[in-house]
Amino acid sequence: MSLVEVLFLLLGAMAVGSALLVAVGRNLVHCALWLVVTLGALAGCYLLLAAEFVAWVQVLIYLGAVVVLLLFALMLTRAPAGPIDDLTSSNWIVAAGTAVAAALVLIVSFAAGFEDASIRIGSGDIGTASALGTSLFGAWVLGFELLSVLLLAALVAAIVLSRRQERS
Amino acid sequence: MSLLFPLVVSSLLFSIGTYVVMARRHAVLVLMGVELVLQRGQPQSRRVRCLVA
Repeated sequence: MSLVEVLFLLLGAMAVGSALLVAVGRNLVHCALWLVVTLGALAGCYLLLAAEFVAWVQVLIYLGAVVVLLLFALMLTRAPAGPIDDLTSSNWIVAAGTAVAAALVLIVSFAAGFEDASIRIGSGDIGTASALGTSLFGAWVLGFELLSVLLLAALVAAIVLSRRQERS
Repeated sequence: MSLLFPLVVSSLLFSIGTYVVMARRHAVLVLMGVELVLQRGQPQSRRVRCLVA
């Protein structure tokens, strides 16, 4: 096992462990901060996969913007700062069973399908911004445009909903 | 590196995210779960690009 693989396993275990803490934590702000650890560890994973542009975008967008947005939402909705007891609903066993089943199906099918596949990290410049932009606006341009239309619709819907509440 | 490492990490994140979305009561926590689910898609697209390259 090479050094990259060991580092990737460590960062992946860190991401999964802090995601579990998000799933079981009883303090909302602590959950948001554990989400920071998850996203940061994933940024490290992207760096190890030679996707440096995605890694820095992850740091900027997710660690910077999204987590700050979540914390703002917590502060502005006057969420209780201390631990909350009934944060998990009573049917969490069903949810946990579904999650474990989904994980098993995904892992088993991936292990069966991609058993021998490997990533050649040193080959070419697959992680640069130009390679990402070429594939995004070349092969995946339809999904990109659909996403932008969806985001525009969400923006309009948010404005309409907030104005309707204002009037009533 | 074997392709299985990123795939397993992303699968685990996806299932934890689905658990958070289904089992948690607070809306902001549900949003955090959605973030976890969405994080899973990025190594997948990364894998596609690696296989294409």
